[in-house]
Amino acid sequence: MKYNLETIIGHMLKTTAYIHFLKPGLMTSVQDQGRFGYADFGVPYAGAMDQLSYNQANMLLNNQEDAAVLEMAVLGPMMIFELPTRIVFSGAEADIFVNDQLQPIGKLIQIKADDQVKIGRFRKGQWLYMGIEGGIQSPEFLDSKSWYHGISEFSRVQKDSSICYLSEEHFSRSHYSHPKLSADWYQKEVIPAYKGPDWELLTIELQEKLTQQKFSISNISNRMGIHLTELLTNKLPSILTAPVYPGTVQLTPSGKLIVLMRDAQVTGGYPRILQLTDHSINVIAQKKFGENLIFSIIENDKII
Amino acid sequence: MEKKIIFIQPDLVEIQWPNQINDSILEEQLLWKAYLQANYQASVYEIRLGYHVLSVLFSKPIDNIEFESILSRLKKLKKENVVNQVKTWSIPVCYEIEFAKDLELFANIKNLSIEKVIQLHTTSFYRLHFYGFLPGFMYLGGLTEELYQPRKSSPDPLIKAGSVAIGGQQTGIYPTDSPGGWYVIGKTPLRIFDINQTCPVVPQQGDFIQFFDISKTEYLRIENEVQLGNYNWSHA
Repeated sequence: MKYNLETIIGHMLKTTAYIHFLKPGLMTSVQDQGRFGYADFGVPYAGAMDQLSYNQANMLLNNQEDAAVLEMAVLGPMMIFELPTRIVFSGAEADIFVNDQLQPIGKLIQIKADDQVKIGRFRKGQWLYMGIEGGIQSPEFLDSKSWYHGISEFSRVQKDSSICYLSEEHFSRSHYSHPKLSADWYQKEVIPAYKGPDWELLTIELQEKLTQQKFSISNISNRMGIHLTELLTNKLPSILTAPVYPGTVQLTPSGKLIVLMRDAQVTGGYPRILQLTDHSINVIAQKKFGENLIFSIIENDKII
Repeated sequence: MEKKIIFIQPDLVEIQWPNQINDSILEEQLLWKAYLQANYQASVYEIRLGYHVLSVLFSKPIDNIEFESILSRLKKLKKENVVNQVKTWSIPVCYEIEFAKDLELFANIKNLSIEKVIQLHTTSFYRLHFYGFLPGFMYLGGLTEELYQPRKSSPDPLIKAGSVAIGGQQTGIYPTDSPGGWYVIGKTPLRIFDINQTCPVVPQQGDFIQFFDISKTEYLRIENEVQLGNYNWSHA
């Protein structure tokens, strides 16, 4: 048998360590790609709200692509690392302080024992990700580490919570040079979307309004869904409960548009008028309260 | 039955039956679902059911011609070919007032005695169409019309796990603590969604559910058995 010396050394120096939260932040949780294969039992996918930034964080660290990261929003946490590791931030442009020193997103940061990380103001974007070398080592529930109420032990980081990682003195080298991550990709207003399965219930007038009018993100925006501020007055019937997915846009009788996000339930009873593309879900996830968007229809006119 | 096919996105197709809740739609959905899972394992990523909808998420984009060939096979399937493995599960429910905070109110609104509500609720066989809303929340068909009652105008902030409730034309069990707008008429000591099991739910799509009335003493005894892991769900 052939042993790779580097692997052995790497393994030997891996030590279980914890991140301790002095302040939990408001919506801090552990997330990964999501939980698939359990929709039959009513279990939502969950997973990182912005999967693009989630992937970037793991890529930069040379982690496995399904490694768990820390997701944060609006009001970030304050935390202390027990032992050395490497971390990287992606997604929102927030004020990230490591021992009071400001750090940009996309930069690999070397963490020493007892280093303190504090997240301040979110300047651009809604969701910030912290990837960590080797991924967060929290328990899996139904094949995923993503936190979701009723499935995982916790749904949010609490004050005095601790989460586990593997400290490694010997770091593998990243294949990626230091790219500059930015908020540019989610600053655009146009959100490409497919027609939803209940599109035909809309009158021509409503179809036009939906694609010509600007909408904005309301103050109700969380892992389950994003409510838009402007109403689309309608007389649509409610539908029999039917499948919905992240990215499904529902229209309620009161005219509210709800963009379902990663924690959305697997079925819903409101007409499903649009279905966002995978990329559009990541873009809209990063939009903040008051930001504008305009839906643009992608035709998928296959007919049988 | 007439079906409508909707291509939503390149890898997501929805099949719609007529706008109804009934057993023959459910049986065809289950037949089609089982066939797709058995014969298209590599290309079908996930299948979801609604009352009159079956949606198929493919692992890669699917074109017209491919889907049409799948559909023509599905249409040739005969219901008689399916082995009938449908079970009927008996679920104990305590309707005593401390477990049933809205039962009195509900009986008053419906102008029925409490006994009559319990009798009506425990007489029907309910068909499990699918799980949705919350992990382990059953969408059941078959509530008797005498118990239809629009949900409350403002939802309660907390309904306890195990609560058995009625909302609209449906009855169901809250699998976890949750806000909810249904009238709570009883509570089951069973664990409806158990994260520690490989399959976290017991009844499967297409199975029947029947509720039976238990006393508080029985409730506490079963609750204890459930906690010790000694309770076996009973079915016919």
